[in-house]
Amino acid sequence: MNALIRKDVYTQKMSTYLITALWFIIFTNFFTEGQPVRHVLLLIFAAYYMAISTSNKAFEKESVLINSLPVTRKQFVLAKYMSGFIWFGLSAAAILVYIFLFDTFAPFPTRMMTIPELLIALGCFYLIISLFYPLQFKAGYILATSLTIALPFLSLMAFRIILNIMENPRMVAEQTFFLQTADLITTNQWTIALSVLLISALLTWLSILLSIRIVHKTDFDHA
Amino acid sequence: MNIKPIVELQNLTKVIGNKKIIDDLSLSLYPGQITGFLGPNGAGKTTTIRMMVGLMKRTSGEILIDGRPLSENFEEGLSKVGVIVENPEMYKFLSGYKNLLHFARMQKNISKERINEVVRQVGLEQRIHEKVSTYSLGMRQRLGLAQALLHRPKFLILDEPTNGLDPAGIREFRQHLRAIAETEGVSVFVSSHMLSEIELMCDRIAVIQNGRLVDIRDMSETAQPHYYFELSPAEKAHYLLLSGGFAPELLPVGLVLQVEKVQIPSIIKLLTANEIEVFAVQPHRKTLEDQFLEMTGGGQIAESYTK
Repeated sequence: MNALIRKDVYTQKMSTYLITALWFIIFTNFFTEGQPVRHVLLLIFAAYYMAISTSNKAFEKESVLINSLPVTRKQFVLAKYMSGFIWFGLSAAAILVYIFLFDTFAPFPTRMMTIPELLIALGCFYLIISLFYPLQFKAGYILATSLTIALPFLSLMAFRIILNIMENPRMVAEQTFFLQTADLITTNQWTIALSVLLISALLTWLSILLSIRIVHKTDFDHA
Repeated sequence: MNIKPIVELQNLTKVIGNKKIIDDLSLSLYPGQITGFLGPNGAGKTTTIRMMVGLMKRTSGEILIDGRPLSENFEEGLSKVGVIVENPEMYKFLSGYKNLLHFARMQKNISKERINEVVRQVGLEQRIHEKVSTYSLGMRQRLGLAQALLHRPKFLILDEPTNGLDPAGIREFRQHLRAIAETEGVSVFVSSHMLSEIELMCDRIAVIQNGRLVDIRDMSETAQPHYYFELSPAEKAHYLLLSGGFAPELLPVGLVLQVEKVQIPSIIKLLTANEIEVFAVQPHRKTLEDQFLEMTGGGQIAESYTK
């Protein structure tokens, strides 16, 4: 099982790590902005991108090979979900190093991520892969990626809209709402983090059960 | 056969939609034998193999590996099996060695010495540290074979292992397989639609057609002496020999008999005493193609590959 979990790390392409670096550029607006929410979003989607890159278009062929080894389908599915922790850990390490360097050398304000922020990112990351894996096992990589890849862009778009609202002098009511929300998040970080984790854990558990059911019924009839 | 089979397929059936893809297939495979699994394209060879290694669910029936049902001992059962399903999909951006190392990590007790040993067995020492993307198809097949052998399986399944290989590659692969069967003592089950390949490689053949097992026979039967008698009238001779306890096969201008050489003079005497003219007697070797056509009643096979 351990080997199965680590399998994706050993077989990850170098190009995936390089492409992941592009997410840093997009989410930090070319290394010029350091709002904590950007770092949370970056962590979620860097981890997500690396996790789904191991399940790329060759996934079906690889599945034939892996499932012809002494590996049960339950182990096969569990390993996919468990390896998410590895991708999240690697992404978190890279982003924390980046924030340290940014905070030390860049002339823009920022701060180190807090533990609740890391937990919120972990929860959100698992929410997305809980959606991705059952889709992939049932309908294939292309469809699963197409349906989930829009999420980082939607979240960035939402963030940009909020920033625009905050700069618009005619939208005082909305600004008050967002400021209150931000205040609420800042003062109740632990409560929010634990709530997100709880919801995420529940949905991940359901997703695992669903994926096991899907894979158990799957005939690997294409090589 | 008194030897305990390493693999038994018991009444294996696979239904997809309303179509029976595999129909009540039973087959026993024994240690030390190379068994060919022969059938036309679409006969159900790959489906059977995929069910044997758990890639496809069976509708009914059971698979026993070393006497134990695979459904109850999946991991233990498959740990005794090595498999190549069609063209093995390795990680092309890794070297052959890293691929083997990767698969070794996923199984128990495989040392680096063992990896080196299988690399030598399949003759890939010179290129093993190069990326798989630079390998020819034949080399990828040999790497697939090395991967399948890593954990010292008792039973090796090869699904169309020579698909896409040129004649030299087929010959090379066959030699490697023979050597492995002899040195490792594994039972090999090899599916193919290429008669000549099976004929040269196997000790025994199982023929499948439309999902049903048509026949199983030892290749040694092919080597048993057959003689062609050119004679006239053939029908009369056929009847006479049948009455005499022989099993002649009637051909348009004669017949074929499976007899010992010493019996031939007495058969000629019998025929001539019954006013049958014998023009020639010559050894006749039944090819696998003859046998296949006998078994399938003329079923098609991709014979063009064998020419």
